[in-house]
Parts: sequence; structure tokens; C-alpha cells
Amino acid sequence: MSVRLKLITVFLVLLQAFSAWGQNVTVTGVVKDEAGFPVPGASVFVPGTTRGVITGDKGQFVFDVPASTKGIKISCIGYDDADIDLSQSKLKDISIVLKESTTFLESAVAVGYGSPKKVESLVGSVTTVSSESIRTAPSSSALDALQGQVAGLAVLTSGGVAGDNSVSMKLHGTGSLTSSSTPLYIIDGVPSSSRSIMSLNPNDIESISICKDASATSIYGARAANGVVHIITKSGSYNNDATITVRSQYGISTITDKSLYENMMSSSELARLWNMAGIHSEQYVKETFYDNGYNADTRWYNYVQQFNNPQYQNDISIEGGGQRVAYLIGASQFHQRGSAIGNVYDRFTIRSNVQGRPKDWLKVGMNMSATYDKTIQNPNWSNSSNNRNYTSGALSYLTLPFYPAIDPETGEEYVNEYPGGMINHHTYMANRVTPTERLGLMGTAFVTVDFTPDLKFSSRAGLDGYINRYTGVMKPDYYLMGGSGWRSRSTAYSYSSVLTNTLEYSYDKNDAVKFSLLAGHEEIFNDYDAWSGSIENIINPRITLISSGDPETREIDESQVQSAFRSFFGHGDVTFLEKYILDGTVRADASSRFGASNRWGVFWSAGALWKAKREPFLRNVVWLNDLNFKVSYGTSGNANISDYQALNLLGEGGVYDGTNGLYFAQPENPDLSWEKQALLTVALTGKVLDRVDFDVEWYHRKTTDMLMSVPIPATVGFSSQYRNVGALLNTGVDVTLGYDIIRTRESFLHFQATYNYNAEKVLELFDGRDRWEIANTGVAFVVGQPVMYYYPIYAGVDRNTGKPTWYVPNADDVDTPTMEETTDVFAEEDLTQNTGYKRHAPVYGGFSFSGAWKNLSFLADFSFVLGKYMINNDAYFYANPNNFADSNQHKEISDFWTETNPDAKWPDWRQGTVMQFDTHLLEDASFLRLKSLQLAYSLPKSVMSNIKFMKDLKFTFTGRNLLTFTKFSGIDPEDDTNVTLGLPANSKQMLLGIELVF
Amino acid sequence: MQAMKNTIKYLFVAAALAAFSACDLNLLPTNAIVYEPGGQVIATREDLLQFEARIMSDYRAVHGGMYNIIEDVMTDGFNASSGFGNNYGSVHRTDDSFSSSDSYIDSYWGNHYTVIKDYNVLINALNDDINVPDGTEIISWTIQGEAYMFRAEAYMNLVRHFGAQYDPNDNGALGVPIVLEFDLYARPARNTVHEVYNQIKADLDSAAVRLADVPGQLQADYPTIDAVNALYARYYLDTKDYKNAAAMAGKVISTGKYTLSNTAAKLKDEFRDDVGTEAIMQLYGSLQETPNATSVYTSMFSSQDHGVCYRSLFLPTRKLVDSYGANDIRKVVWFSSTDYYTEVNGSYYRGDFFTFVKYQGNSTLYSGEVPNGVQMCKPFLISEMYLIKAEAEAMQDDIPKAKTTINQLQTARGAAKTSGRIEDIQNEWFRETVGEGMRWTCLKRWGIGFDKREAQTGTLAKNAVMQGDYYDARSLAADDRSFIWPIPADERRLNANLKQNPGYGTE
Repeated sequence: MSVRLKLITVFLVLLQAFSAWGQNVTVTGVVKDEAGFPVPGASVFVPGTTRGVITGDKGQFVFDVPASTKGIKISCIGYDDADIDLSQSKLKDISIVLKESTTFLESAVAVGYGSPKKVESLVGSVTTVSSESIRTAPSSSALDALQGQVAGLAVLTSGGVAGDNSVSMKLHGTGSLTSSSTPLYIIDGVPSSSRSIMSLNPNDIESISICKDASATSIYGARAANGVVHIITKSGSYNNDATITVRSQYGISTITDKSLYENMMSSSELARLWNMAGIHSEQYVKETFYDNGYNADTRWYNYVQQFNNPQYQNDISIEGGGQRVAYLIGASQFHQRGSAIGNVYDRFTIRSNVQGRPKDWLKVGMNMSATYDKTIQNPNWSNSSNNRNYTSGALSYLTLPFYPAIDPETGEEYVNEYPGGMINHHTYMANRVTPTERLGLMGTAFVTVDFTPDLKFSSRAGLDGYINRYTGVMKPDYYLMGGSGWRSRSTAYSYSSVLTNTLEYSYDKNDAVKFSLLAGHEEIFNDYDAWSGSIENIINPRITLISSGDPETREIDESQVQSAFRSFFGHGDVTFLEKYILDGTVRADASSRFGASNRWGVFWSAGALWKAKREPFLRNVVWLNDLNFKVSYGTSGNANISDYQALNLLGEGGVYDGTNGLYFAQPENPDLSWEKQALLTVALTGKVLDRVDFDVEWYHRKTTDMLMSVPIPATVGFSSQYRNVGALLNTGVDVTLGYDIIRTRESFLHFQATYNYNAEKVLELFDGRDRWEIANTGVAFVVGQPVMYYYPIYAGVDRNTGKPTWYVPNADDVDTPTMEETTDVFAEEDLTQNTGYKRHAPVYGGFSFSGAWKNLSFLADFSFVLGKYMINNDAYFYANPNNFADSNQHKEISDFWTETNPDAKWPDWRQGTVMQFDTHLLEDASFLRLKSLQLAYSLPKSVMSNIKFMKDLKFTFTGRNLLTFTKFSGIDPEDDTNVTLGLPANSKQMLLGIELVF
Repeated sequence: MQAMKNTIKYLFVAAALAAFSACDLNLLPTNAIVYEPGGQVIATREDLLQFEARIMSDYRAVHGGMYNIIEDVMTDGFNASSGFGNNYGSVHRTDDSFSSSDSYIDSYWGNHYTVIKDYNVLINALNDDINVPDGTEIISWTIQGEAYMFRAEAYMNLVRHFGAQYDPNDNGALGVPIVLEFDLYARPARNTVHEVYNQIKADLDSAAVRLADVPGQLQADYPTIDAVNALYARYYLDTKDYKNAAAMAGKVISTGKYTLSNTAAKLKDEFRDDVGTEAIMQLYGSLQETPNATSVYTSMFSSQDHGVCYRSLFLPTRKLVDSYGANDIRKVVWFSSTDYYTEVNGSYYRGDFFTFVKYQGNSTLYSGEVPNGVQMCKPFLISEMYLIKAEAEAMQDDIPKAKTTINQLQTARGAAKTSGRIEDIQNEWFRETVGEGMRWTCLKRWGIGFDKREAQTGTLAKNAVMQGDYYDARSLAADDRSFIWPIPADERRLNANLKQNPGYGTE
């Protein structure tokens, strides 16, 4: 029973105590559902009065009503109301059967293509995150709020660049080694992308459902192998007064952690280290720096970055409905600034969701949303798509502290550049205008015709499209340009359209057997069309068009790709005796991406659900409130590679004396086809002691015919080709636990935890090989193992010589290191061996506390990742004084080997020692983060009742990433990568908000 | 009434289904031509001309820039400046980090085989008469010759770097795999150095026949018979066939089409403005078709207070700077201490030491006022022919003839005339070809190393360069492992048939 229901109970009981005097009669009875199970917690009341009672554990009630009462009403969430006319009914032992509600949204979920299904009778494994968790989150993407919320769903945000679409999502491990492991995103039935989700106003989202097992995903066949994230936007409800909600939040955003920057050396520390390590003498420092007036001690991050950035978001929505039409319209605004100077993200959205039932057999609806967003990034920093290890930005903390940032002549910062060459980012970004603007349009229109109450036809057309416009200008009068500016433009036009037709028949006239059948057809078409142009030698800063530059420098590029998918599918489920439910799906998909004779893939699933609590032998077990057992098995596919990979192609490339080159650009692979996945899931869910919910799922996920970018020796002339090779296994367990710690009249405290352990194992690779070490990544695929870090293993400093040493691999088997013999001669190829660390973290989870006391409520969401390892490439620069003798270094490297300090952490720099790419850079990046902290205070009803025009007034505080616990010494542990390089740290926010409901 | 209602319902469904128009699943790219493997690759005259443009652009892509820089910064002509930021660090130090995983070496290997693939496809597509597009028989013959010449040069570059120095008496030493046809599944083993040079000779012979009627001309932007002969000269010098080396180099010199610059102004025309008289080939270049930049020596930028400046990542060594005589025009044109400030680590120097400016940048190849290190690409210069001829003559012990030859070059350059002994000719190679990516190959061919890389004179010059065992104090023995580059680790992981060179770990 939900907390809300409990509160209603308390409320009604309370009211009853004050009920009117008079002559009463006693009505008794039992409330059951259609299957004959008792319905506890239902309200039994006299309509139009405050009289009421609540049914007990066995659905029973005893109700004293005035003798004049004509009828009573029984109401319970999840069921249609029932009315009992007392003049027509007996008063004792009334048997009342509640019909399960089909319109009840919160316990129903739209999975696949048919009508929404009740969660409790769903065979598939689906976890739904409601709007409550999403709406006040201060992140640009609603997906960020899912971190730690869904067992088995790994969500990581790569860094703190505002406007970077940087959320990495994986369900139940990595499904594919070199093609995408991203789930299929669907917004209101339309296949979409994480970028489109970022362009949604999170407050428009009603729910996000994560489809985890084969029963839930196979209906999506194509591309469903990595799970499905199904987003439903809000809609108004029929026969409801208009509600206007206005929300506003304002606060600051900064980076999660500055300690790395703070731990860089000061001028005197660096000069001392250089001298002691024999890198630069005191005389050198004097002549090169001090004599030139460079004797400052500048902390460069204070000049190259900005902290405590303002952030604000506002939105308004109006919803309601009459007899035939229901509507929701809304608009929102979001503004965020990043820590890199000049980095801003702005988003504006509008939405209109309208649905109608013009005839009793006809339903129609249309959801439309438009988004404009604008991102300006500072190109001196990495983002989720580009590594930029630039000392002018991301690695600016390497800049020598000797140089001053303040010009002694003006007492202010140098305007263009600081001594030493570091540019002033404020001036730079003022002269470099590079907005990326995106105008997104998402819409879906649907029509449902009821031929009979049991037979429906539905058709849905949807579109997710955008126009992307990039403008880059570097003004000619900027001091670095020498009077010659440049401009580059690009425009992309892209859409994905879908048309779905389904026919659904449901039979529920017989309690012993109910079933539904669905058949459908779907066509998806994707189109991407882009051009770009650039020019140099623009001389007038006041007119900087492409037409303004030197035509000799003009460059133009164009690209177009299209793909199409065709699918036919069928689904059926049958329910026996309200407790045994079977479910099956079959779907055939064809994709234009594959070879003409290998286009079709057929996917299917079968599942069963046993509602054990409904068995007679469990019905009377009082401590067990609910128990369900589910099993499903099925297949799905993955076509997530770029287009035209199967074809033998001559492409254009290279130009000589104005003539475009033509060359053999791609060897054919007519065998290219679907990556396949077989998924077995066994789940046990239930509730005990009326307080503890549990959901335990075990899965066995096997990917075969993996779409892999197979590397080819350079001597062939190509570097890789996509082929269906290899196999991968992920097995694991998801656990979700909920515990109602406190449930009283005025307060509640709820604890929720999710946990996933995933074991990964490579089963097969290309060319029959057992091992593939991917160049320059530190990562290897090895048959029989998870994806592992293969790297030279650093064995520390030789106590006697001060040289760095490495473990010599086991001569017989590099997969099984002995870690015994060491060498001080570095040879990457020969020393590379199994480090024992996994590339993909095996444990993801989260826990949260939510509670309320009177009008105060709070939510604290923690998420964690364990066993996560990452190569901290930044440390190669900041702790490597011989290699980077022109860079500032980390304080830690002062502890280097000398004859008197033989146990030092770092080797003897005096010997010219250079640190290498080895396991000294491979760090434990496990972390625990307070992802979200929300506090809210609503004005009491007693106060609100005096404000006639307003229904509710709430004050909120929202924090994101406020606390982080990690051993990782780099910028940020959260990035989902093998090598982290030049990223700004994730941001943390503190926002105050107000929410008004009229 | 019910019938009416049903009719409306069916109309709705029909309308919905009408909206369903089946997408075409046979989607083809707009930026490429789909063709059947085994069919006619080059089908039309337009295809042919575009294929030629591709191999020309390929050829330009593997010249200049990195392809020159590595050899010079590996050896004794340059010091890393103290602001070099580890650019070319592994090859400059040739320490442990110069390993089979080195990215410069990996690119050198991979990029050459990528262009060889294009050369092979073109050669083979035109090999069978029936596959030559109608009416293109004559130009097809020439274009095929161009591809043969390019392939010969690509294999020469590969075997020079990844193979042992050619030894007529050692026919077992390993070179590089010879790939003449496209085969996705081939995993070739390394051929011997002899086999690779034999292949180079065969390709040169094929090129010579096909380009026999393409006469040489100054700054030819497509291969000519003179360019083929210049490549023959290199081939014969490598294979120690000194008689033919001298003959081929002499043949190119005797055309009289290419003359040595003998004044500073002319030399500047040649090397700064690319309008000189020395280039046997000079590939097309423009702002849009930019040749590879050789910017590590200058990296010019516009500073706030000092105007346009050099930011040298590598500075010439004392040995290089001191090797020129007082009147040598090369010193005047290729080295500068006063033209601009040189910035190193935030300090600005002028007049304190020399910066190497041979590749400062051709003003037609950059926009704005900051030179970018881009010069026209010149695969063959006449000066190299004098050097080859002189070396070949000296190696045949014809010292007087060698003296005559080398003195011609020295006279033109304003250098002191030397003897024709091999040591003097070696020194002239150093002075003349600095920055052209030949130093390491020369040292390897001569079997000598070098002793340290002392910085230029003066405290400021010393402060401006990296110091330490692997920097200014680095010496290279003649038998140092780095005289044969490692086979890239990644390549060996994919092709177990490739043996590693000595000194880089497991064979």
C-alpha cells in the first residue's frame, strides 16, 4: 500500500471521529478484485460526505452509516469505483468486486506497441522512473537523473562541459565490443536519440521506462539488444479543471573538485624540484624567468576557468481537459555556464500535447514539441567527442607558475596573452564566435479506431528531426590572427520518421482465460544531410561572412546518408486464472545497412509470469504481501553501425591541381548482417512484512555475430572492416530493495537501493584469435576474460638504482601475470600483459532516502560505481618532469629516489628518467556520489485555503553532485572511458526554486 | 446506421494505411560509386583522370612534414628547444619511448602502405587491355607509369627505414613485405632487402618505359623521365652500384634544365618562394591543396608585444650552424637570428642564436601575415644529383672526378671548395640537405653515428634547448638499434608473419 493511500486512510478515520450524530446502521462486507483476491486499503465512504472507512487486510469492512444513507461508494487506486445502492442491497456481508482500472496511468506502462499494460501483470521486466525523480534535476539531460535509479542501468556523465551531450548509458553491461552499446531511445513511440532527450524539458516527462528483458524488448526487434529507454511525455486528463504550474530555479554551478589544480607546485617548489632533479639549474631559472621579471606564483586555473557560474531554469505548463479533449501545453527555459571560459548552454522548449475522443470509437492525438538550443564551447577543452589535451585550456595547470597573470603596468590581467604565451581566454572567446544552434522538432500523431470494444486499429506517425547550424568566426583583428580572420559554417538537416500500424484484439470476458493479440507493421526512415564551408583571409572584423574572405581559401564539403528499416511483428499474451501469464513475441526486421541477401533478421521471445501470491496456499501467509516469479527468453538485434558498410565502393578523396581523386575506398562485405543477442532473465519480485519491496533478477545475455570493426594489417591498405564476428557474454544480477522505515500520519521515510553485478566474458574473436590488444588504448579483448586492461605493469622504483621497473610477463602466458621478475628496460610491446583490471566496472548501484514530515519533504540520491578503472592520461603530463621540463608538475613528484631516500614513490629524476604509459597511470576510479539532494517545503493547506487563486506553493532546494568519494587522483572519476584526457570535471549545482500551482 | 459507422471506421484505417509508403531498402551512397568486385574498376576517361589525381595527391601526402622531420630531429642537426612540448620527443631522444608502439613510426609505415594500395589498384586496373577505358590507351600508359614510379619510391622509403642497409653480400637481411595486389586476407611476411630492391628496380623499369616520352621540365608537377632517372640514381646509390648511380645522376644534371642557385637571392627564390631553378619535380600546391607543413623549426605566431615571432620546437645545433663558411649563401638564407624574435618558454630572443628557417613558409600558401611552415613539395632537387654523383664517384675511388662534381655545388653555394674525399662529400650532404629528411638515411648508408648534439654557443642558446642524456648529450653509435626502425607493434599483432627488428623485443 502506498504512502499516499495510508495518509488518506488516516485522514478518513480522523474525519469519521467528528462525524455527525444520529441513528446509524452498520454495513459490513468484503471487497475483492476480479480474481477473487481481497483488496485491502480501499476506501468505503458515503458520497458527498466525509464519512468513510478503509478495508482491512482481508478486504473486510464494518461501516456505520446514518440510516438515511442511500448508497456507499468503494474506491481504490488501480480499480474503477464501485457504487452500492443500499436500498437494493443487503446490509451485511456484501460482496463487492472491484474491476481493475484500465485508465490508471501510474501502475500501467506502455511497453511495445499495444495498449498500456498493468505493471503487476507484465511478464517483461520494466523499471519505470517517474517524473518526481526527474523534474527538478539541474542537469541539461533528463538521462543524468537516472544514475543509480535503475538496477542494471549504468549511467555516466563524462564531464562538465555545458551543452555537451555526454551521458553514456549501458544496460546490463556492454553488449557489443566495437559497435554501439547504447540503448534504443523511444519518445512517445518515435525512435530517438540521447541528443533529442537532452533537448526535452525534463518537466515534460511523465515517465521513463527501462525495458530490461527479452519479453519487454523483443517487440522492438531491431536495435533493441541494448535495452529500450521509453519516454512518455505528460498529457492532460479528461474532465479535469485546468492546472497552471509555474516553476523557477536559480543557483550556481561549479566544478566538483579542484584539488588536482591545488596540488600543482608553486614557483619555489618547482624551481627547487628542477634544481634537485638536475633538470634546470638555479641559474637557468634566474636567467630564463626571474631576470625577465617572471617571478610570480600564478595559479592558472583561476584565470583560465570560471567557478560559481550562474544557472537558472524556468518553466510553465497548463493542463486540463473536458469531456472530449484533454491538453497540456508548456514552455521552458534553461541556462547553464561551464567552467571553461565562454562555455554556455541555453535551451528553450515549447510543447503541445493534445488528445481527443471525438467519437466513442475514435481516439486521436498529437504531441508536438519544438526546441531551440545553443551551445558555445571553448575549443581548448575536451568534450565527450574530442580529446583536447591543450595546455591552452584543459591542461593549462601545466603552465609554469613563474609567469605573472597581472600586468604590473595596469594592475589588471594582460589583455591578449600572459607572459609565457598563455592566452587570455576572455579576450579569445570574445573574438572567437562559435555557436552551435539546434532547432529540434519532435512530433507524433496517432489515431485509434475501436471496431468493437475488443478490436482496435492504431496508426501512429512520428518524426524526430533537427536542423543544426554551426557558425565559427575568428575575427581578423584578434592579435594572434595577424589581420586574417576565418569563418566556417555548417548546417545539418536530419530526421528520423516512423510509421506504425497495429491491430489489437483482446478477450477478457472469461475469468479463467484472457488473452490479447497484436499484429503490426513499421517503417523507419533516417535521413542526414549536411554541408560545410570555410574560408580564410577575412580582413574586416566588421563583416565576416564566407563571402568576405579570399576565394582561394574556400573549402566546401557535403555529406548525405540515409537508412531504412522495415518490420513486421506480432505479440500475444494469455492469462489463466489471473495468476499464470504467458507472453510471446515475434518480429522480423530488415535494414538497408546490410548486404542485400542478409537484410532480414527474425527475433522472438517467450515469457511467463506466475503470480504466486494468488495461489491458495500462499493467500493466508500474512507476512507475504506479494510474490511473483518471472522467466523470459528471447532474441533481439543490433544494427548500430554507420551506413553502406556492406558495399564495394569507389570514393572521392584527395585533390590534385583542382581534380578530385577517385580511389578504392571500401571493400565489400556482402555477408554483413544483424548482430544477435539471446537473453534469458529470471526474476523474483514481491513484498514482505508490508514494508519491504524486493525485485531480484538474474540475466544471461549472449551476443553473437557481433558487429565488429575488425582491424586489418596496414599492408592491406585499409585499417578495419565491419564484420559479424565474435561472441560476448554478460551475466549478472539486479537487485532492487525498498523499505518503508517510517510510515506515520505526518511523516514517512523510505529507503530504496539498487545494485547490479555484471560479469563480462569474451567468448570469441575475429580471425580465430584468442587475444586482441587494441593499439594505444591499454585495452585488450581476450577470449575467456572480461575486456581487460593490458598494459606494462609498473613494479615501482628499484631501491638500489632509483630506476623505474616493470614486471616481465609470464613467458608462457601473458594472460596470467606472475609479477615476479622485473626489468628496468621499457619496451611497451614486450611488457604488455594482463593487468588484472577490468575495463568495464562490474558493480553499479545507488541508494536513496526519501521522506516527508508535515509539509517538508526531502530526497537524497546516492549513486556508486565499484571496480571502475581508468588510465589517467593527464598524469602523464603533470607527473613526468623530464619529459615535460617546460611544464608545471604535481607536488607529489618531489618524493623521488635519491641515495638517502631509497623508498621514494617516484624514480630518480636526475637520471633523465621518463615516465611511461604503464599501470602507474591506471587508477581506481570507483566512486560514490551524492547525485541529487532535494528539499521541498509546501505551504500548509490552512494557509493555502486563504489564497483563493493559488492551489499550491512550494519552495525547493536542489543540489547535484554535492559530495564525491573516490580514490582517483585525476580530475574526475566518472567519465566512461579507458583514457581520460583534458576533460573539465563534472559540475555540481545548488539551486533554489519556487513552484506555484494555480 | 451501424453500417455507416463501420464505413467511416474503414475509411479511417484506409487513410492511415495510405500514408504507409514503403521505403526503399536498397539505399546507395551519394558520395561513392558502387561496383562489382572483379569488374572494370576504371570505366571511363573521367574515372581515369580522377584516379590519377588520387595517386598524385597520395604522393604529395607522403612527402614533406613528418616524412622529412623525423630523419632530421633523430640525428645531430637539431636540439629540442626547452619549449618543445615533447613533439617528436620519442624520435628525438631515441630512448625507451622510441619503441614498436611509437606513433610516428606507426604512421610512417601505415601511410605508405595505404598509398601503395592505391598505386596497386591503379596499376592492376590498367594492366589488362580490355579494362582500359576506350580512347585512353595513351594516357593510361603514362598514368600507369606514374603509379609504378610512386610505388618504387614508396618501397624505397619503407625498406630504407624498416630494413637493414643494403649489403650486396647479405641476401637474407629482412626488408618489408612486398604487396602488389589488393587482398583483404593477406598476411605477408617480410621480404628480404634484396627482394625489395629488386621490386623497386622492376617498378622503375616499368616507369621508365612508360614515361620515356615525358620529357623533364623545371618544376614538373607530374612525373617525368628525369624524375624517374633521379630515383634510379637513389636506387643505384643504395644498392652500391656506383657506376650507374653516377651515370643516372649525371644524366639528370646534363639535361641542363635544372641549375643550382648561386646567389642568396636565387636561393631564396628557390626555398622561400618556390620559384627557383632547382626542382626536378615540384608538386602542385595552393591554399586549398596545402602540402604538408614543416613547421617544427619555426611554428610562427603573432605575439602581443613582439609582432610575428618564431616559436621553434627544434633549434639547429652548434655543429650544423658552424658547418657553414662565412660566405655560404645557405647559411644566409636558411638560418636567421635577427629576422624575427624567437620565443622559447616565454622568453623572446633576437640575435642570440640561429633559428632554422628553410621551411618558414611560402607566402602564397598561407593567408594573413604569419608564415605557416608550408612550402611547395619538391621530391627531387638537382643538388641531390650532384651529391649522389660525387659520392658515387668517390666510392669508385675517382676522387678527382668527385672533387669536380662537389666543387660545382660548393661554388654555387659560396662554400669553400673541398677535396673529393668521401668525408668532405658527407659534410656537404649535411650542409646541403638539412631539413630535407635525408640525414638519418645518409648516416645509415655511411655506417656512422654521431657524437652529442651540442647547443649553439652562449648561455642563452643553452637555456633555450633541452639538456640531458637523451637531448644535447645524446650520441648515437653506428650500430644503434634506431638505425633500423621497429616494425609497428600493432601491425605485428595482426600479422604474425612479421618478424621484429633487433633491439625492440621479441622477434
